Amino acid sequence: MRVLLVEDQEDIGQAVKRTLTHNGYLVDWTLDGETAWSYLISPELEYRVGIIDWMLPGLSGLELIRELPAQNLGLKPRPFRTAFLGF
Amino acid sequence: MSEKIAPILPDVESTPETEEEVIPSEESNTSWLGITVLLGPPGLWLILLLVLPTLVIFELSLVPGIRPGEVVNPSGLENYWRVFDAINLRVVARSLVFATGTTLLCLLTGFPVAYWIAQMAPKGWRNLLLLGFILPLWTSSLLRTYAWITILRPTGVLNTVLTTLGLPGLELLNRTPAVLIGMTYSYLPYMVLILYASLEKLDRQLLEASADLGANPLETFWKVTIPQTFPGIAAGSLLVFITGLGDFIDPELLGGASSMTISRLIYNQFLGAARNWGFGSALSMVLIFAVSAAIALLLKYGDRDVTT
Repeated sequence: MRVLLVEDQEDIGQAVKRTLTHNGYLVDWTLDGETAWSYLISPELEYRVGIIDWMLPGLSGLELIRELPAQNLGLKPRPFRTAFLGF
Repeated sequence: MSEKIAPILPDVESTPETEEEVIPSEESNTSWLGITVLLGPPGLWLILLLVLPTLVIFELSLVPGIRPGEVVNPSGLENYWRVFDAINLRVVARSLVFATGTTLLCLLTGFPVAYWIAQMAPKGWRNLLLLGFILPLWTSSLLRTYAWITILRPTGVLNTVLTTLGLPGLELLNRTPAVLIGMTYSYLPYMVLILYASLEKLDRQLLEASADLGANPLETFWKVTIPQTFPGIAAGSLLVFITGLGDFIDPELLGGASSMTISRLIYNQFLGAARNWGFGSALSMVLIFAVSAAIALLLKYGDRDVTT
C-alpha cells in the first residue's frame, strides 16, 4: 500500500518513513505541501493513506487537505492534533 | 479609328529574352542556392531541436495520464486546468514574485553601478571594471550558489561576522530572502552590462542643459536620464525577469521546502516522484508562453542595440 508522508522536519520524517517502510508500506516522503499536491494529483500515484504535518513551510497541511474534496481523489481528511506548542 | 497605336512600353511577355536579361535569372538562382545553403543547417537545427520538441511537449500536455508503453492519445485540456488549481497558482505566483523581486533588486543595485562606470569612472578603467562584473560568470552557477550556502547558513560566514560584532544572527537560508539574494547575485552582471551599454550613449550635454535650465539633480535624473535610458532599463529588466522566471538552481538550493517554483514543479513531474508528464508538459507550455510574451515585449520596448 502506498502512503504519502508530508513532514518538513527531516529527523521526524526519516523516523516515520523508516517505521512505515519496515512494516511493508511504500512511502513517498516530501518536505512541503506543494510537492505533496503534485503527488496527489498525479495519475501515476494512488494513495490510500496520507500522513500530513499541519505546520509546513509555505502551504500548510490544513490548506492541503482543504483542497482534497474538490479534486475527487477518493481521500477523506481526518485531521487530528498530536502536539502543538503555542502560537 | 482602326489604325494601330504603337505601344509606348515594350511588351515584356512578347519580347524575346536577351542575353542581358538571362544573367539576372542565373544570379537569382545562385542567390537562392546561397540562401538555402546558409539557412538550411540552422533551419534544420531549429526544426529538430526546438520546433519538434516543443510540439511533442504540446502533444503530451494534452494527455491527462501518460503511462510507459501506452499510446499517447491527446484528449483534452485537463492538465491546463490543473495549472489553475489554487495550490498550483500559488506556485506560479511565487515564481512571479521571485522573478519580479530579483528584477527590482538587480535594477536598484545595478543602475548606480552602471551609471558610475559609464559616466563617472575614468575611461581607461571602464573595461576593467566591467570585466570585474563578468568574472563571476566564468565559474559554474552551481558553485556560486553553494558559496552562498556557506555564507548564509546558520553557522556560516554572515552569522559569524554578525555574532562577532555582538549582533543577533539571521535565519536566511531555506527562506525567500536567500533565494532573492542568490538570484540577484546570479543576474546582476547581465543587468549591469545592458544598462552600461545604454548609459554609455547618454548625452552629457543634455544633463548639463537640464542643470543650466534650473533643474536639480533629482529632476534631471527623472526627466532626462531615465527617459533617455528607458530602452536599456526595459531590456535589462525583461532579460533578468525572463531568466529569473525559469531559474531552478537558486530556489532549489537556497529556498528549501518553502520555495516551490514552476521550474521545480516541472522537474518534479518529469524526474521526481510525481511522474506526471502531461501536467509537467502543460506547466512547460505555460512557462514557454509567459517567456515568449516577455521576449515580445523585450523586442518591442528594449534597446535595439542591446537586444538584437
